[in-house]
Amino acid sequence: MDADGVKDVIYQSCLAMDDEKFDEYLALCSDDYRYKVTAYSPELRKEMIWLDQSRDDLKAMFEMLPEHVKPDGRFTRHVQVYRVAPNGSSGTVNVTSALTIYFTNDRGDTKIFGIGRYYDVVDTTGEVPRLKSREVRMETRSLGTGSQIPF
Amino acid sequence: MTRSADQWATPPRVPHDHYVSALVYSDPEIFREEQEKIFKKVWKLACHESEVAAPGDYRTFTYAGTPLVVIRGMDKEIRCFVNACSHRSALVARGPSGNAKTLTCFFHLWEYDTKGNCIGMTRDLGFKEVGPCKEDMGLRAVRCETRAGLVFINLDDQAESLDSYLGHSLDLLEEVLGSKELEVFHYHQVDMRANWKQWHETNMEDYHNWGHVVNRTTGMQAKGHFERKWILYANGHGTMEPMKIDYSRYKGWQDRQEMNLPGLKPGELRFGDLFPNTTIIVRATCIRIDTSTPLGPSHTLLEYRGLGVKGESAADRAKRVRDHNQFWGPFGRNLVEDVVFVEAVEECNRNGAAKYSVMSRREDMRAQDDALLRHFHNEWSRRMGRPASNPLNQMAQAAE
Repeated sequence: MDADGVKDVIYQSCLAMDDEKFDEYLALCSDDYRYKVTAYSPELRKEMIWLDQSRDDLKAMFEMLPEHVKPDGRFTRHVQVYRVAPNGSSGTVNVTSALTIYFTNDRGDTKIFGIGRYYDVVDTTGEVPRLKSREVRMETRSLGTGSQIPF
Repeated sequence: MTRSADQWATPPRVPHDHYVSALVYSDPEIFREEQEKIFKKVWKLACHESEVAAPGDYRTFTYAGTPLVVIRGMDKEIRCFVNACSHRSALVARGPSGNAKTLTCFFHLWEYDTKGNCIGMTRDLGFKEVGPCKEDMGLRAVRCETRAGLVFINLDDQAESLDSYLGHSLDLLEEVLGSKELEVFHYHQVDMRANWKQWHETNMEDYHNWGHVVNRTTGMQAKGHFERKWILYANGHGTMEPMKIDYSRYKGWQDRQEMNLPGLKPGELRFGDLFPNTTIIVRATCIRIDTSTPLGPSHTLLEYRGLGVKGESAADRAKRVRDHNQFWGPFGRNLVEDVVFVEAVEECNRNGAAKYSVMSRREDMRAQDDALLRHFHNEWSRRMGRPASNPLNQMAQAAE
């Protein structure tokens, strides 16, 4: 297992999204990539799914983003990979990372937007590791304006 | 043509109930008065009954500055109490939700049953000499009534009944909300830097749909979109005639031919706005309910709920959640835009840069008529005893 290569794909995915280079992000993902944002609601005492997208769903969404009104500013993802663990014999590894999302508005003020974790599955069977799935597990549930751009 | 400062401050040349003063959004005294004359007087959506489905289930929240707990009793009746111990006023129910056969204050362990009766005073011998006794120390009951699965509370013991207050305002939604057992699958809050009315005004006007790319490409392309008529009800409530939308017009989205909620045709949109601060929107397969808690003139807590059919398959639920999230989740296409719109409006109202908000569109009560906005502010003015167009009577004072 190339742990550094696995970590690299996680970090590269954050840089691509920070820079809103969505094609670069998708290039890091497998064809069957699945992206989810989840959170637990203590109000409902239930698990919630806030976003559940296939690679095609994400691609369509990225293409429409320029048409949408968005908060004025940009997101920055700060990620630290905590654990890279082989996942049986399938050639995939499970990766757990701590995630902090900052939002810097167009006046230069930066605030913490949310915290959570990435639970990624990375396919290591190809020439380079690729993201097979990502669950963004949000600890923060009050997200202000929210965001059309995934974390 | 630009305008001078005096011209800018001059009321719009339209009837006085076709605009409102920016002061209604920013003045601290008006905000405090709203707490007394509106929020402590009218029915407020507390939760959906599925959030307190089992005996002992409770939900807590704070409204008009008052901590409250809604609890389903052991007798299955839903009640509301001020969430304060009769002894030394600590919260008796903690956390946003839970289940308890009795409510026990964590401070001195006084105990209450789910009907609000005080049933336990720790080491009660100390109260024998001068009192009080348990019978006098029940929780403060708050009016609580349910309609179509929606649990409302009212802090005013003398308020009219919920049915009387709502009248026929839920007629278009009653079948959707009440035919099948529903449950809340989504809940999130938005801490919004804007006045509560600015948010609900956005819910009450179709005109702002021009700002949403989703609505421009789906709803506004639908036959009959602009011809639908507003329906106004007593007490400031309103709704609009239903319409059918083809959601697949937006890139990457599917139509909504299947799994439509009871009483709805494929793709059908219905909604209702309840004075002062609750909106229910049904987009064929999913329901959003939003309500607000005003925290300050420029500070509002928004709550969003998404509802599905209880007991439906995992696959059906996943589709319903997807349909809901596309519009209204924290990563939804429209919700983000609405918050950005409203916070931008507040920024111009906050320090008096903007003086008036114009609500003068008339289209014979059709979709992009501002009829419901005017209806809302007429009700606001009636309850506040102040015209929304001139709430501090500044023009009269200037004339003097």
